Amino acid sequence: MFSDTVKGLRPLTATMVAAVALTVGFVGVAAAKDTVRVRFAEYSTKTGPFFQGLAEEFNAMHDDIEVVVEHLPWPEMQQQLITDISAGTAPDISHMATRWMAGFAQEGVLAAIDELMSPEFAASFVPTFLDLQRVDGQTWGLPIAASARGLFYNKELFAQAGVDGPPATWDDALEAAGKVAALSDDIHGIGVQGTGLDTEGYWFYTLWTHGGDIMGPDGKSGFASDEAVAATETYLGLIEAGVTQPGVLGSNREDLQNLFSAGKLGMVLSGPWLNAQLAGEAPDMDYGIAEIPVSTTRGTYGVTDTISILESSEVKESAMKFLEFIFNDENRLEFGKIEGFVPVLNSMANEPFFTDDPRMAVFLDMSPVAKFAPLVPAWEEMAESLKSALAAAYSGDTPPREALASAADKMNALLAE
Amino acid sequence: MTAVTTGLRPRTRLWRRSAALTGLLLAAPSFFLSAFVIGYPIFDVIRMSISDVNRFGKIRGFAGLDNFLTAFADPIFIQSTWQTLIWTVTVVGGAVLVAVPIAVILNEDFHGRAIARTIVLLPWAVSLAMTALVWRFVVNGDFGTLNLALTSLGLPFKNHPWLADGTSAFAIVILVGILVSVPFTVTIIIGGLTSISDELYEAAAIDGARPFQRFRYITLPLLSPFLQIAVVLNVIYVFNSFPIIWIMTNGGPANGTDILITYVYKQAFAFGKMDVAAAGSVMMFAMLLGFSILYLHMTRSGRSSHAQ
Amino acid sequence: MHSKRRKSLYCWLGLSPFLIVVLFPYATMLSVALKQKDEIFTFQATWWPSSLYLNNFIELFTERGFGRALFNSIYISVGATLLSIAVAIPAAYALSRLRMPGKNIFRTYLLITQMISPIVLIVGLFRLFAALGMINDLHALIIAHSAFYMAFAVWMLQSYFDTIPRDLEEAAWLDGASHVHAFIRIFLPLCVPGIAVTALFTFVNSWNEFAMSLTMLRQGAMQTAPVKIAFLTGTLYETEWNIIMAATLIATVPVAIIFAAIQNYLLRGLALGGVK
Repeated sequence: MFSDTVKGLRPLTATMVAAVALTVGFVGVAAAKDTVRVRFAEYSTKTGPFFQGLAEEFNAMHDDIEVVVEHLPWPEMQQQLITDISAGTAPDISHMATRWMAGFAQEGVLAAIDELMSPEFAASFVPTFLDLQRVDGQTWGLPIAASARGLFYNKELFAQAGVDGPPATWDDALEAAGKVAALSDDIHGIGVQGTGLDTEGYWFYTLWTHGGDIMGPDGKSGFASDEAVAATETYLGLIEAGVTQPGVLGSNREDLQNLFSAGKLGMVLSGPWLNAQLAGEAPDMDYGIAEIPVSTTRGTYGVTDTISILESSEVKESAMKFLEFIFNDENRLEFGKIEGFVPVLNSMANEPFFTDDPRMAVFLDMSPVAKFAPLVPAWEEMAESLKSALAAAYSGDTPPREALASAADKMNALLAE
Repeated sequence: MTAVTTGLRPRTRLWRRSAALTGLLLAAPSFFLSAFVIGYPIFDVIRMSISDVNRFGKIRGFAGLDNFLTAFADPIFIQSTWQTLIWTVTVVGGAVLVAVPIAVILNEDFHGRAIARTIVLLPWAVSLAMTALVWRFVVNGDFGTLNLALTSLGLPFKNHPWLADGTSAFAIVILVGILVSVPFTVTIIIGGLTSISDELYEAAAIDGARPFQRFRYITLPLLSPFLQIAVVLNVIYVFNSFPIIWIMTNGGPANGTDILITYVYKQAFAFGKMDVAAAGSVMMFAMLLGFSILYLHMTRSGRSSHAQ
Repeated sequence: MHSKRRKSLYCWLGLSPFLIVVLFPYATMLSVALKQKDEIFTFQATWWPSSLYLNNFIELFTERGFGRALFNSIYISVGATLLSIAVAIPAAYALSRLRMPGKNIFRTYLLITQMISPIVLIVGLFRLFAALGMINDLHALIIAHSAFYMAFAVWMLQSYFDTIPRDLEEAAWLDGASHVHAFIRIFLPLCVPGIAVTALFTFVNSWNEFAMSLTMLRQGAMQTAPVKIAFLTGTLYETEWNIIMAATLIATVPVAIIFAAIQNYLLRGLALGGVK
């Protein structure tokens, strides 16, 4: 019975067997063709099909290259990539968070692409974003997605509460949030994120707009600077005034977005992808996007994701051809429209899709003041200890200065390693 | 079935001559299957634990006990160890406490028993990852169904954020842990209950024993070997249980729900410290082994002194 | 009769707190699975969808490939169950009936194989199966699952075999039957309940296993149901709760039907298989 089942499966799996052989690097592929395995992580349910479509188009144009697309959800991406590299089954091209890149590059698993790229191709990128892919003078990948962050505010709730426009400063934000929160028990003034992916990012908004920095000029952690403490006290002030959503420490990024989408939150700091969610779930909502409130300095969090060629790849040139294809103007514009990210190509800067819609333009306008997380190998661990410190501070259990000092110590110890 | 026949026929003569050899041959396939699949990974982990290892598990040199010392020096490792203890003791203890009365009831003959039994087994029908995901939605403060149900009963839980502080988040994950451990525990305990002969209870009833006395002096002692097995296996499974905490709280807030397995996972895959993760895994193994030896020894000697 | 009715009432009352906790998530799943995406996060949370929306279930099969995932799960679980029972029966028989050296060592060894979580071993496991060329191969999971779940099968079967009186086999031997013949004709039929229960345990464990399947099956078409569901949560910015809840409900159904069909058998089978 067991072998019957196996036989029954056989016709179904002709393609699978070939794919298995590829995955593990066995022969069995027509020798003349370069097979390029590309792994993408999904931003939305459209990401996978989009790149699948591009691969088919590309394969039709090239007789000598066959691109095979795999896609994975973000939460599993890091573990799977590490496991694959450790077993020698990594793809030729992989999507990753830029913050993992430094660690990967340091271990020599990524290919430096400076030699592979044509100068014209390299020059087509917005310099800020391409520079972010450089560590130790070499380029380790391309910025496949870039976003800045802004303040989303619900105009309807603002009108009901008698708030005129988006707050320009953190003091204004506290006042506006207070008025909105007073509308009803079910409505909260402003979201503060306390857990999950990007919790540290939510704190960088306040850090940078208070004039602080992740790494000080001395190359040491800026987590416990006076600016950082003031920044944290601003959030703590919002929490203690009761104008945030209840249970800050249990709220992840998605929880805040859902609250905003349901019309229960006056303000939330988020990125352009939220536009897409709101278009689907709350098409009638009247909302605006403004710059992040300021205490001393304008700022926003610039984040990129990276797509890299792996050092283990034996078809690096073919891989580069595919990357050049997905980064051509037409395909990038399409990608921007689907996912709503900020353009990374110079040629897109005047594209009406990005400049005419005020809900996109605000992110472009803030790009010059964008700051980025540092590219250091142990960043994930530094961010984790920062998250714990923030949780201790937001809960009111530990004074901000003391909580942040422990994260700064941890970061300095990791920098010294 | 065919595997068994073909495995045995040529060995019939051997069997007559030497039961010992036959026994070893019969046990061999199961031994080699697990030695093959689990043996290499265990070797891999032990080797990494005493080596200097890069982010991708490549060995750079011998590290002696450094990785163990690194883990010990990490306050979060120590905190996670304590939390693992709390997690394991409360989940296993809770599961046994809940399962015994449920098993006693399900062992009675009553209308709709088949339905009741099926419902009790249901938490076992879904993988832990899915259960955890569903519960994350259930306990969501603003949109979750738990607060919806509690407020409609007139209780003051509108928008109550269950996962927002360490204690309440830990309590929630422990309750979910108990829930998913109950079906397995109930099955084992009912197994024990049905093995107790009715005559014992009848005799006790004639002697005028009250129901609680019957439970205390007949049911519990005869159940103890079953409880012992339930405890050992549950401790092993719960101690190593990853998805509930990972999906519901990710170890947060502020490491308040981190246990050793989530600590090890973060070290290995987020922080790129495969060697420290391996050392942590080896220590986890040592703790379980120590517990099992101690527990089995204690209960076994306890039981043999009981037997007349 | 009257007293049985009263007793039933008490039994149900006693069970009710637990039953409510068990059924509550199912009510939640149903509520969300019948909603459209924009009804889940609304200003006022509700139990009832505005209208019964069955598209989530349809979409699962037509667009998300969930049917294939269910097939993969069944294929792996059935295969792992058959393989682990096939190696566990002889081992359990040896432990139960034969005088062999190292019995206790073997039993301890089995316990030890259970003490390390697959999560901890995942890198080593992946390296092993990658070296064998078995990534994206359902059979890799059959082998891995049976290796992990076989220990439990051996214990259960051994304790079950211990309860079968030896007299029956011995009588058959005296009648001139060979050991193999006695084993197949006399012994095995008596053990069917125990084997069935053991098989169910293995099936359920394999059906629900997540970490190994996630790591070793990389292609969408190879994924098992639990992994497929995790992939639905996996876009960076949004979780598709309506689809997830529908998928979880569907994944529960096969196992729940098996439970309902054999619950009586299940509990009795274990009963005989008490530990010595």
